Amino acid sequence: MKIRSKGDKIFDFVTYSVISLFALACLFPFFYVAAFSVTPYSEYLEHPLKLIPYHIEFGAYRQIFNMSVLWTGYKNTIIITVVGVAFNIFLLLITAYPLSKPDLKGRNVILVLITFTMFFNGGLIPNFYLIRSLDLYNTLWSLILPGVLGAYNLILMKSFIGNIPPSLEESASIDGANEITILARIIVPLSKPAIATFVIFHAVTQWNTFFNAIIYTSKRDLWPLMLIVRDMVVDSGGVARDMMDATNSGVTEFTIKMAIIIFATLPILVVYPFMQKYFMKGMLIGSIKG
Amino acid sequence: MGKKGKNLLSSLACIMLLSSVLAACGSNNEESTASSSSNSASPSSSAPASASQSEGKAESVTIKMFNRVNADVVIDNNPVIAEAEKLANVKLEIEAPPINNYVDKLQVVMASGDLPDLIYNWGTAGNGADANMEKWAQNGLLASLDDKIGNYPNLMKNITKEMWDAVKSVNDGKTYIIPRPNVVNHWGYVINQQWLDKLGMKTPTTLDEFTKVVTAFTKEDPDGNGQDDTYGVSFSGPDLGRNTIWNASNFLTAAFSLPVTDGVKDTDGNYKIREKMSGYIPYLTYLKKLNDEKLIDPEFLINKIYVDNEKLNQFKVGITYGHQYAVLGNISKLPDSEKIFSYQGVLKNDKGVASDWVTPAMWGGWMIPKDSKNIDQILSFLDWGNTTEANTLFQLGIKGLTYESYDAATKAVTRNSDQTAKLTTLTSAYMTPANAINGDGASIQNADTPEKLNVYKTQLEAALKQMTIVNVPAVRSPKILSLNASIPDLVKKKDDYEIKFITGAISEKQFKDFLEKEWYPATADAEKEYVDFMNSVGK
Repeated sequence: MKIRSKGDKIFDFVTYSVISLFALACLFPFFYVAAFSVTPYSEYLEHPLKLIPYHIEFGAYRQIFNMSVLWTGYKNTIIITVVGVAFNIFLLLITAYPLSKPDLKGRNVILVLITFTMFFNGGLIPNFYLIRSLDLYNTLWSLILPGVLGAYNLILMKSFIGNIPPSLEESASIDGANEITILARIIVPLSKPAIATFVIFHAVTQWNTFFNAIIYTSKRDLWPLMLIVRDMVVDSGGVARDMMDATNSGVTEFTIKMAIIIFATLPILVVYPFMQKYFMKGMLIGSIKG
Repeated sequence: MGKKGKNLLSSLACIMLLSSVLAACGSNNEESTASSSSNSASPSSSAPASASQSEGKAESVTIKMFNRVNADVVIDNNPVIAEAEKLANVKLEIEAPPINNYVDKLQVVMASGDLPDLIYNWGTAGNGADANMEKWAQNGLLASLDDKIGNYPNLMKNITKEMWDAVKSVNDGKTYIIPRPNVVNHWGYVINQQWLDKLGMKTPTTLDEFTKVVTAFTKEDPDGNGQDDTYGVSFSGPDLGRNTIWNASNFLTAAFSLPVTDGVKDTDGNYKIREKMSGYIPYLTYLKKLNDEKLIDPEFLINKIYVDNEKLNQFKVGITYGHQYAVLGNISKLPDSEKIFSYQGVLKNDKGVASDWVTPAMWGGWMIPKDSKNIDQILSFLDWGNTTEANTLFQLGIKGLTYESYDAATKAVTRNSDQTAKLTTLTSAYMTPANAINGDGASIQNADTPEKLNVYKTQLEAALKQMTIVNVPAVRSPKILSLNASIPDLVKKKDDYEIKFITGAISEKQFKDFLEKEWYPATADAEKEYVDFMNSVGK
């Protein structure tokens, strides 16, 4: 066993201290929001930075649980996340696999066209027209299909599959497997780390989506959770001015806002620790391997 | 499968997927253009007619309404909306995008060519007659309403001449937007009355008295905790980057005869930009003095909106700006606010005049597309919207469902907790076609006992008795209103110089040099246009 020098121990101590401080700095806002959401306002006024309140009050949660719009938002967000991720992974695989083959005719042209979409798009109004003309307006599909297959992720996936040794496919082919069998039996199992990463990436994107819902839906029962949270929590200058204009007396329900933030982020917080390793793997996907 | 077969299969798969990628990414411009033309050709008002026919109501029309409503309110199967439909004999199809992105969605809808029947515009001007409205009017999207509005008595009664003048197009002088009247706010200040009483001081009405009070609030331990932890006054701003000292600070600027809004003459009887007014430098110098002597909240220049209110509730500061509804409104945050704080009018200037500058009280307005076939019916609906019946419905909801009792004479409302919870999901001030009738709302927030109502009335009457109301016309001079867009860097520099002057980072001479050499020349055109406009208003 290697004996660690004093310098190593000091280095470790400093490293762990810095990382711990950084972790605390990251966690503090969340704990603060959580504590704030159960702190009576009168107590907050006396001790604004208290992380453990003397009295715990769940009134804000009771109030938001009665907001039907939040529950429909949850339902919509879960649908667009689950369906969106399923479509995303399916399309990624069946697109990246053929494109990973160097002898595919027109491959470079197709790749150029795909890359083109990374730099140029039709813009807001043309996209609005497109969604409407495809009869996707006011459907959850309008929140699933645009961006279901991102060019960046597609290129990464293509690179990943391209790094799988061709000999594996050739041997399967000699054994009589067709392309679909090879994709299902060889490529998919070997691509599990990449798939897991893209599941996370796309799930987070879908979970956080809100702008498309503003443009592509006009019904509140189609709003995803993050759009509702944003509208209730973000206190932009315009809203603040409204409050004054409407003589609403300047009362802002801070506690309810904090409860809504906790309510909306809890699922991600529960799932994230189990998925974190895939995020880290994702950083290396597509990179050059020695 | 041979190599050729595999390649063919792969190629086919790629072509199919590529089309889906392009479709999903929306870069198919040909299709966009095609759909554009087909959509823009569709009439906007065909649906209302068929809807009304299918319901078998001869008089009733369907109005597609595009409104800005907070997220808490449920639109579908809303009994308040159903009641409004019954009373106004219309069918309402309300589309209400998120309030934070309302303008984004409105711009997309206006560009789409498929317009609703009734469109709320709020924009940057506050009265709805903003650059967007002008653009849409110029593009022929909006109906000119001048020859029709005279037929609607409630519109003509509830919307004042000043309001109509305020929304006329600056390009052709026509009316394209129906103002949404709002409650008239009399901005003054809210003071900790308990501190004042404890120190044995009178409510300040002049600058000298005000200085004495903020000094005492800061130095004489008004909260009695034995610590030097209180300040006399604070400010806050609605937008980061906008100087807090101009946000509803009427109570203090009035002492310097310095209006916080454009459209008011200077003491010499001439219109000028604010920076040339006689009270401008003295006001900033006074703030500098408060800052130097540490009589003002040290964060007064960076407080976000409501932070000053929070500090008032935390008993850290004794005075913040506020209007007549502020004290009772604060009860939602701090119980017994009406016993702790009081509302006061603005300070008097050196001639003993306390100027209450009141701009036309509007909260955006309603536009009707030019192609609409139901303009008269829509105006009828808005006409009903400007009645006490409509205002009461949208502000209070339905008896038994969202309130227990309502006394129209005293505006007293009683509700149980269940009704209060329902109210927030069924209606809000955002829903009202007109948020005030003759300048007043249907109720006064939290005035649920005779005592609280009396507090409100007494304080408002006292403030109005002290103040001289000055009705300020809406300024429709585009250049002065768009300095932020035309010279953003210089506006920011001017704001920074104001702050630097107040905090002592630059001298008065340096500040004046900047104004003389940079600010006045850069705003000369805008000032001339503004002065010409204001002089023409009086004629």
